[in-house]
Amino acid sequence: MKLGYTIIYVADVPETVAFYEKAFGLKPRLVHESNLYAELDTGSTTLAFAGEPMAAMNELAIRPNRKADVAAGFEIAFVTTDPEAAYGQAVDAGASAVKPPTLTPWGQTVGYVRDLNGCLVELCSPIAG
Amino acid sequence: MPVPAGYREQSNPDRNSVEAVWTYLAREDIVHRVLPDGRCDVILRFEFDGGRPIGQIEPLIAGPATSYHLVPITRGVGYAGLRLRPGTAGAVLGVDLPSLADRVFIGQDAIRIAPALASLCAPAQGVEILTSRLVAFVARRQKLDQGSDTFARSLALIDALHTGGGRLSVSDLAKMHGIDERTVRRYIKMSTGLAPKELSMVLQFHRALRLLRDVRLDPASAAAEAGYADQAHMTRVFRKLGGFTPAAMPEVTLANLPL
Repeated sequence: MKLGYTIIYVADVPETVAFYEKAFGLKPRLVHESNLYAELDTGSTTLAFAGEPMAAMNELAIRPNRKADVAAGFEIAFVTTDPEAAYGQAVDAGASAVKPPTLTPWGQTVGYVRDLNGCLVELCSPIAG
Repeated sequence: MPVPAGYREQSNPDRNSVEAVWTYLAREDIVHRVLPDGRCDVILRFEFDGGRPIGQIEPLIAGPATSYHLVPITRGVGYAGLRLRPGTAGAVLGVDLPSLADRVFIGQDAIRIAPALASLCAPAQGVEILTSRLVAFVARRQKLDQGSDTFARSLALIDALHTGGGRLSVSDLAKMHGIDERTVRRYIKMSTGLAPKELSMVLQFHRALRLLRDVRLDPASAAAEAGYADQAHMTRVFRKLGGFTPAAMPEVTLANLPL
């Protein structure tokens, strides 16, 4: 078994894709014509977005992610050589500032923002060694 | 579940007030079980002959329901209907939706509460004329209120409730959307005609129905996933909202056929 996809249910798929492109520089790899599903070009593990109506179509019930709500108990972590610049770009693009990047005792720089849907996104430097 | 002979439905992919357009030409006497679904239907009823409406065309408004009702349908009677998306009926019909809850208005009673319906009842050469008349009616009417902020907020709340399978509380919805609980209650009641708890119960019931019927989960798993305290709780809700038990779901039940 291997991790293939992380799929986040969102209120508006195209808007979320546009946000991720602007805030994190990630390009879409696929946007389904229904506008209910999209994948980002994130390497071997795909970050994808599904429209909230897809949850019911899959016979699922979910707690929708909303910006005004407390963040759900998961995060997406993007690794970059320059977390400070990434943080600035994200906040300029409309991400909510949560914690500006700081150097951790183990030598990694880590910051947090919340995306347009209120999901937590971590911006961090690669772990040394 | 089987669709009665003579029933046709087309869902509307556009994101406007119309969820589906349907027609039903009854070729036999049946008793139809209408399940509450949190929606409101506008219907034209007529007698038909060879698929063509004859005689008087009567409007019907089926208000939002909290429990099932049984509707006797006579052979030779036809229906053309629109299912309105949850939260849009009040604006489209220009009515106070909460006052319509658990009621069906027929003919003059329907025209009394929504006078604009009278224009839909002119004689028609075919059933498809009635459906396009209904669609045009909604297209004209939905512009009245849909630009408003209240309308958009109400729809967002209803969508969240749907997405959560009826399992989110008013306090969850309030926190999620950054508004207070009183406002959540008011918006949902105003836009669907049902209190949030009533609407949640309907949505949870439908999800449990689908988990049992389509996903074929065993009753204990379905009850747990749908968010009922236990199987007995699910059974009580099925009796109240559907008039049947999970163990003996009637063949004719069709969640999407309103009348």
